[in-house]
Amino acid sequence: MIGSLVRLELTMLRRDRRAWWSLIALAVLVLLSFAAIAGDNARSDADKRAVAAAERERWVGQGEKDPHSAAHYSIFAFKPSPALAGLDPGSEPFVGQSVWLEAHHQNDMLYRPQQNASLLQRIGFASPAALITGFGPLIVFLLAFTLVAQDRERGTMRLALGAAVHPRLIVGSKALAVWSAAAGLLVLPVAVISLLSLGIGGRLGGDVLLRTLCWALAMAGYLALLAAVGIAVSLRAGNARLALAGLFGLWILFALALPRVASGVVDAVRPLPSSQAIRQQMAEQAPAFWSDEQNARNRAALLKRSGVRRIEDIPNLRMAELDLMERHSHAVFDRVLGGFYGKVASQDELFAALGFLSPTIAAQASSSSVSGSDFSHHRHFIDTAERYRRNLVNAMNADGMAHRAHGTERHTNDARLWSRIPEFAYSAPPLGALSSTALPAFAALLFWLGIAGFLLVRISRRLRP
Amino acid sequence: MSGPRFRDLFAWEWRQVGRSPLLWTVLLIVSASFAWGALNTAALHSAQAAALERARQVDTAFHANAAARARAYRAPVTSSGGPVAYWQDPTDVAGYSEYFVRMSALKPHLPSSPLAAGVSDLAPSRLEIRLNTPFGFTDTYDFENPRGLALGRFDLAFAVVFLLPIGLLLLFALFVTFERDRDMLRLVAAQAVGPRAWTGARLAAILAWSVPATVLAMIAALGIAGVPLGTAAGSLAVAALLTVVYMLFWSGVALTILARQPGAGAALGSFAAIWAALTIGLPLAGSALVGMIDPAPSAVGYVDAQRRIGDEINAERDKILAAAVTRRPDLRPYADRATSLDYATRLSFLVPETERRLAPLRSAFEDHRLRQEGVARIAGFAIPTLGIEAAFATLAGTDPARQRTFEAQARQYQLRLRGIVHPLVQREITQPPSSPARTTRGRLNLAEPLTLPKFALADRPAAERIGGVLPFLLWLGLLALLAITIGLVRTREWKVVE
Repeated sequence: MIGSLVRLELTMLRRDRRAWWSLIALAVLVLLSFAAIAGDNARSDADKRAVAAAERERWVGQGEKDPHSAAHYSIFAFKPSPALAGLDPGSEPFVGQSVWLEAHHQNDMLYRPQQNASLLQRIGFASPAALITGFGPLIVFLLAFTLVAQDRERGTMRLALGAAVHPRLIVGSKALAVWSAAAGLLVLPVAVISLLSLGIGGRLGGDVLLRTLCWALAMAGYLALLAAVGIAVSLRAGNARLALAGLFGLWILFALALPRVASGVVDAVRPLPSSQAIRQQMAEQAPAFWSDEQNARNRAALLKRSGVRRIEDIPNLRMAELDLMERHSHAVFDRVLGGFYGKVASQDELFAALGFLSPTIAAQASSSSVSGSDFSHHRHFIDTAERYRRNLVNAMNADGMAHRAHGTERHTNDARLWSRIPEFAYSAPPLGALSSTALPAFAALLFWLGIAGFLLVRISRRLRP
Repeated sequence: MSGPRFRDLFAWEWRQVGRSPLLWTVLLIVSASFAWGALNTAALHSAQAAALERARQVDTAFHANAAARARAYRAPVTSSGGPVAYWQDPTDVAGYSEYFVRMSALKPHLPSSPLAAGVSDLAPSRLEIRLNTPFGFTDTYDFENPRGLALGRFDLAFAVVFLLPIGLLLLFALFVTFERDRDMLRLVAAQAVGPRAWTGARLAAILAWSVPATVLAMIAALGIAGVPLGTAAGSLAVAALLTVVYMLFWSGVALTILARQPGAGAALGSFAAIWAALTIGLPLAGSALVGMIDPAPSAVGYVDAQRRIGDEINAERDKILAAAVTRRPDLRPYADRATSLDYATRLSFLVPETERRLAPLRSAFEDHRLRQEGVARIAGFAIPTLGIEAAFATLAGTDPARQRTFEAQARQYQLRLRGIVHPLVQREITQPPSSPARTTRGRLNLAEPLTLPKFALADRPAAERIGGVLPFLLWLGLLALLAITIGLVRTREWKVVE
C-alpha cells in the first residue's frame, strides 16, 4: 500500500517541473563538484607520491656528511588526500599539504590549496557535502511544499484525507517520496561514484567502505529530517504562503545564517591565540639558534647529566648540546603548539555541539569527521609527521654523540645510516578513532531526526479532512 | 474613467507596506545580520591588529637584546667568557646578517576593513623578512580554524550579498502575490489601473522603506563595529551606493518574474533558482571552468624543484662562489678565499643564484595568480554577487590585489635590506682573516647592530581604491536599469486567467 502511495507521490513530484528540475540541477552540481575535487585530488596525490619518492632518494643519496647536517636536510612529508575528500574535503583546502621535517623546528604545514585563491575560486568552491547541507534544505522544502501545501491549497489534500483509512499513511508516503527523491538523487549516485573511483584508484578498503556508508547514512538522515520538517511545516501552516515563507525562513536560518553565526560564536567564546604569538613563543622558549649564555648553561647541564667534570670527557660536545636543545624543544612544542591545537579541537567540539541549534551544523560536522577531512584528522597527520621528525633527528644526534669529535675531529656518516631511517609513510586512522570532537554533532543529528519524526507523527495524528 | 495617478498609488502602497509586520521583521533580521557581520569582521581585524602590535614589540625586544649582547661582547676574553661563535655574535657582520637581521613587514587594516573579511582570514598580515629567505619570505600564514575558513566568515559583505537579496525577494514575493493567492487579482484587474502601475507602485513602496532602512542599518552596523565613519566616509558612501544599486538590480530581477503575476510559491521558487544560480551555480561553474583551462602550477612540484635546485647549488657551490667573487672587481684579488667563506657569507652569493634558478617557476605561480585575479575581476561583471564581494573587499582593503602589493613590497624591502647588509658582509672577504686568538669576546667587525629601515606599506590612496570600484558600480547600475526595464516591459497586461 505505502509503496504504491510513494510511487504516486513521486509521479506527482516529477510532474512539478519547477521542484523536480531544481532537484536535478542540484544533483548535477553535486556530481560536477565531486568530479572537480576528486580529479584535483587524484592529480595532487600522484604529484605527492612522485615527489615523496624523490625525497626518499635524495635522503638516502645525500652523500657523506655530518649527521646533524643530514637532520637539517631531512625530508619533506606530504599529506595524502583523505579517501572521501571528493565527497567532503572539509578543512583540506585550508590546511597545508606539505611539511619540512628539519631539525630544531616543528614547521608549519605549507601550501594550502586555497592560499592564493581568487574570490571566484573561493566563492566557487563547493563540495558535494556543502551543496547537500547548504542547498539540500531549499530543494527538500520545495519538494515538500509541492506535495503538501499546494495539495491543501487546491483542496485535493482534504479529499485524500477523507478517503484514507490512515491519514498517517498519506503523510508518511509524502515524506518518504520527498526523502527518497532527494537521497536517491543527491546522495546515492555520488556515494556510488565515489566508491567506484576509489576502487579504480586502488583505495577501496573496509574502512573506506564503512566511511562511505556512514557518510551516506548521515546525509540521508539529514535529508530525512528535512523532509519531515518540510512536510510538517507545510501541514501545520495556515496557508501555502505561510508554509512557503516559513520553510524559506527555516532554510535561511538553518543552512545559511546559523552555521556561520555558530562559527563566529565559537571564535568569540573560545578564541584562538594568534599563530604569530605561538610561533614567537616557540622561538623564545626553544630557539633554533641560542645565545652564548645559553651555551654555558647547556654545558653545565651536560656535565651534570654525563657525570663528568671536564667538557673534554664528553665524546661529542656539539652533538650532545644539539641533542639537549632538541629534546628541550620537543617539550616546548608539545606544550605550546599542542595546547594551541587542543584549542582548535575544542573550538570544533563546541561547533559540533551547536549542531543542536541547526541540523545543518550537525550534518556539516558529522560529514567532515566521517570523511576524515576535519581538523582532528589533519592533526593526526601533523603528529605522525612530527613523531617521524623527532625519531629522525634523535637518530642523527645519537649517531653523532656516539662518535668522538673534539677540536678538529669531525664525525660524518653516509647512506648506511641514512637508509636505516624508515621511509615516511602515512595511513589515516580508522573510522571512529578521531571522532570524539564530532560526537556532539552525531548526537545532534539523531536528536533532530527524532524531533522531526515526532513532529511529523504528531501532526499527522491530528490531521482531519 | 481615468485611473489613479502613480503618485497616489505609491502613497497608498507605501502606507500599507509600512504597516506590515513582515516588512519590519525582515528589515530587523537584515539589520541584525549587518551588525553581526560588521562586528564579526571587526573582531577578527582587531585580533590581527593586536598580533601585529605584539610582533612589533617582539621585534623591538629582539633588536634591543642583540644590541645589549653586542655591547657585552666588547668585553675581553676571560676564562669564564670565551670568544663567541659567529652565529651567536651580533658584532660579527656575517653572523649578524644571517641570525640577527629579522624584520617584520606588516600590513595594517584600513579604517573601513569591517566592510568585508576578503582575504584577511586567509593571507598573512605579517611577513618575517630575513636576508636569505628566497624571494622575500616563506609561504607562511596566520592560522585560522580551517573549519571556519571552509564555512566562510559571516561578514558584512556576506550579509549584503547573500542575505539582503533573500530578504528583499521574500518581501517582493509575499507582498506582490497577495492578491493572486487570495483570488483577488480579478478584482484589482477590474479597476482602472494597469498592472505596470500597480506592481510598480507596490515594488517602489517596498523599496522606499527598504532602501533607507538598509543604508541606515549598514551605517549603524559599521558604527557599532568601531569604524570611524568620518575617516572612511568615501569608501562607506560607495559601499552604501553599491548596496542600493544591488537592491535595485534584484528589484529588476523580481519585477521580471512578477510580471507574470505568479502565486507566492511560483515566485519564490523562481527567485530561489535565480538566487542560487547567481550565488553558487555560476561561481561554481566559472571556478571549475577556469580550473580546467588554467590549472594552478603544482605546489608539490615547486617543493621538488626547490630541493633539486638546492642540491645542485650545493654540488656546484665552490664553482658558483668562485665565479661570483671573480665577477666582482673589488673581490677578484681575493678569489682564493671563495671556497673558505663562512656559511652566512656564502649565502649572500648562493641565495641570489638559487632565486635565479627558481625564478621561472616562481613567475609561473605569480602569473597564474595574476591571471586568476584578472578572471575573477571580469567574472565579477558577469556575476553581480561576485562583483559586489570583490568591490566590498577592495573598499575594505582586504582584497587580493592589496595583499599582492604588500607581498611585492615586502620582497622589495628584503632586497633593500640586502643592499645595505650584503656589501658589508662581502667586504669582509677583502679583510685579513680574523686571528684565532681573539682578545675580545665578539669579533667586532660590526661595531653595533645596524639601524635598518623599517617596512612601511605604501598603500593606494582611498580615491584610487574607490575609482577601481566605480566601473563595476556603473555596470551594476546599467544591469539594474536593464532588469527593471525588462520587468516593466513584461508587465503589460493582467494575467487573471491561469
